[in-house]
Amino acid sequence: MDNDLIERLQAGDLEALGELYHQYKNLVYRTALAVTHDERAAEDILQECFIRLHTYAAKVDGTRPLAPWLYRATVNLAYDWAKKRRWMQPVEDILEWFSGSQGAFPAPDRNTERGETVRLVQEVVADLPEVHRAVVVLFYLENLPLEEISQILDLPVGTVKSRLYYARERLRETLARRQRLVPEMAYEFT
Amino acid sequence: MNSHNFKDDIDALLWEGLRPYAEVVPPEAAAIRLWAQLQQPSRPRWQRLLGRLGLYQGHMPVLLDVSELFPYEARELAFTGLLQNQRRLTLLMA
Repeated sequence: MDNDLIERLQAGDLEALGELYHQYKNLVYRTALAVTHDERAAEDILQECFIRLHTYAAKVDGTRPLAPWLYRATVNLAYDWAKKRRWMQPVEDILEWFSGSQGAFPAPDRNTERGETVRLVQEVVADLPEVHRAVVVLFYLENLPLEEISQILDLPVGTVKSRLYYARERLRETLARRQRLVPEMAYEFT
Repeated sequence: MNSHNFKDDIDALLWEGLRPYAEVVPPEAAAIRLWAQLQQPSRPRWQRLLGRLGLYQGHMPVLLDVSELFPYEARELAFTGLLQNQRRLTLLMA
């Protein structure tokens, strides 16, 4: 089905782009949001991703699934956003302070210990460098196999594995520190 | 607990921590922004305006009667004539 839509898009049919958008918008948006933790950035990335698909349609191989192409574009756009953000962060922090807006973590139930643990996991993932976070998102959120992540991100499989290992270690260390501070959570990891 | 089980627990936590993202969907206005960008690539201000008029049907945007909901933007869009000759956009002024 992608093949037919891509061929139509390559022929200049905007309706085909609309159908592809309808089909893949959630995939692009949730991936962008999980990597950036910023709703506005995720929306911008969603838009830019499909603009790129429209612009570079002639270069897209219609015989292959489109999802890996979209994942790669989404992650690259998220990296670009993160680079720009490092420069703009002080200004954005001030604007955020004035507007009172918060980050874009899907809210877990803060009234339960499990909800608190989920929140902690989200914070650990958010603190990972973007290149590590992208691997974690593609593996745990999108359930992609290591080989596919390797192809999407143009990384050796060993690097994908090492980034996952790093993320697990960071989470383990954070939880261990929390366990020392909050003994009642110990049951989760003993 | 052996290390294998511990890894499984960490895997389960990471999966659970990211699971809420699986349910997020983009705002409907995002489709309008995309469509407006394709139609008017040099008019980012109108992208933003159209994004705030977040109504669409199906996979392509259709603006409905926005004049009551967004009177200022509706007037401004009508003033610029942006929506003229746009087959899929209908702006009904009060």
